[in-house]
Amino acid sequence: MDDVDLCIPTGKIFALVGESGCGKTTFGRMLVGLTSATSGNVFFQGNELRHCLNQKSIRRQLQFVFQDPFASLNPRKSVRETLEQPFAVHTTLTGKELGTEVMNLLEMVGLTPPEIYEKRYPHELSGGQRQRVAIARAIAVHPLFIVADEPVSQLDVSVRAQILLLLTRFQEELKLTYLLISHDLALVRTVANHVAIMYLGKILEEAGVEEIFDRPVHPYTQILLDSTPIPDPRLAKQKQRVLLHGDPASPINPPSGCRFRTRCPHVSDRCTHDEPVLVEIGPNHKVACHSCSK
Amino acid sequence: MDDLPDPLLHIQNLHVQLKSREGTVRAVEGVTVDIMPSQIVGIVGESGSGKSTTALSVIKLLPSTAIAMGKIFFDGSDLLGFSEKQMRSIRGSRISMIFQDPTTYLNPVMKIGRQIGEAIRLHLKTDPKGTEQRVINGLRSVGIAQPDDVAHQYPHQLSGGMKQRTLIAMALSCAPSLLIADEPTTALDVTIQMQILNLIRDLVKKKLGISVMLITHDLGVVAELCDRVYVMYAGKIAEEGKAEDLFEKPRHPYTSALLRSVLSITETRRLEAIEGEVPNLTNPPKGCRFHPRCPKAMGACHAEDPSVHNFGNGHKVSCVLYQDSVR
Repeated sequence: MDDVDLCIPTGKIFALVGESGCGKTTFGRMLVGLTSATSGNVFFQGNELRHCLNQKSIRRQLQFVFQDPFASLNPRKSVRETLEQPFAVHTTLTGKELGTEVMNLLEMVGLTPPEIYEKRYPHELSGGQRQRVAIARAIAVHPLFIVADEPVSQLDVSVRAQILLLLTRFQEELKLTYLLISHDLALVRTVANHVAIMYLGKILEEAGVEEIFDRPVHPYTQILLDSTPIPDPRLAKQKQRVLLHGDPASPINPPSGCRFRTRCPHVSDRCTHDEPVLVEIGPNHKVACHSCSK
Repeated sequence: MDDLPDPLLHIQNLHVQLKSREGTVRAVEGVTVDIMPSQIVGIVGESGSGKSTTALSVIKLLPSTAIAMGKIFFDGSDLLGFSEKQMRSIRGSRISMIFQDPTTYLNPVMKIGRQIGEAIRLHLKTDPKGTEQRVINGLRSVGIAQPDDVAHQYPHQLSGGMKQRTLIAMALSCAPSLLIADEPTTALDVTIQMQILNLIRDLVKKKLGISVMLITHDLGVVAELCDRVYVMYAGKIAEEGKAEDLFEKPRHPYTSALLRSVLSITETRRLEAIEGEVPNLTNPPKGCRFHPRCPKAMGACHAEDPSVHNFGNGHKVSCVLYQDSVR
């Protein structure tokens, strides 16, 4: 990741989109202190994150929902034990009060009746149910900010919408702010408010959700949109598409100038040595490209 | 099926039972599928729908404890009656298969050229020169720019998209008449996925005689590629028809719900969830297997297996809703 400048507004779902290896997960982990930046700062509510990460009060505000619910839950802990953990760390609740909190959480995420689910172990739950437990754990101690890293990509299609509805409901009910990390543009269009497109560790375009889907400017954004399947056979088979050729360059030795130039259909000489910076081209719309920022 | 040509593959009333620790899983129950020459047929379903089991039955790669009953006619002869030796001569030459995760299916210590050459040598009995020529041509036909270099590389030197292309080249190396593709693009990035989908489409439309059985959970991929679609749920076919008909006029409540839950980049859709979970097949629901999650379920759904209603043009639905109009 290189020279990333982002502002995530309170109460919004901010989506970070990119292909595998572009650095989107690393970015998400950094925001909650799971990875530290080589250089640069993360500010959370105006405070520099690396100085206040050792404060529990800050850490409880930042939570993470991982991609793979089969790996993120401890297989030897029951649902109840898993959900007690955040309270044990961040609160002084014990006994009955703690039990009530856990039951409430299970009801909030739709694992009802809670008496049945609290005793279960992860292997007794389906993928969708596990992800509900992971979400319950994340919202347990009333965080302000949740990083959701591909939260539904491992779930069945018919279960995905359930989990997304849960996440959007909590955005309103609990006034949560999300960083949604995803490669799925259709999902992003449906739930996000603001979108940033990442390629090889750089943000190439950033805008409100309507703006970026209706008026994509960066060639990479356009190609990503062109590459997303359309769930309508008539439209899909007629559509003329610009496709991407080749594979992404190595992040260890990225291309000089614009990182996308090796695959860009509009590449010019300038792209080789001059790296484009994010420029505001409209209200709430920034793009980093020589050929399109004029 | 009066004037139509004979199907290349005709699966007739296939039942597959798998043994598991929790008991017998009836993974596939009474599935009938036809694939015509040069057709791309999609089999869509969620986990546990039996779509992969159906595919593996065709190529007879089910675990040894599995029991498959029914008929699978390929080019007129029943594959289920074939010996392992007969199957070996068919796999890789007449029917070949590509899988979800290309990394798992390539030998990490064998150069790409040798891996592809192995099948060619075995089935076509070519000499080393001829084999090499076919390997290079094969790699070129799947859009690999420097086939000579790639043939001398090891799998770890290639990207995911390149590996999947290599596997497709391997699958097509002996000019099969049927390609079974089990979630061929699920592990790939969207931009690479579209390249591979275009490649498969071009291969079918330009090279006469190849049919594709595409196993997927992704209705977007189906819309892009398939001529005909079978929607499976919990081991049975819920609905089948031409892709256009099925997407425009879904008749089965499961198909409609599935289509409503598909998100699109062209419009902002409201999220609509299907309640409940995919059933456990050691103990499937009685009657219609979708009834516990079905918004239109009624008394009859709990008791009887719905019969199939034909809407014409090969559009068939197995749902109680249409039963009265049948007879």
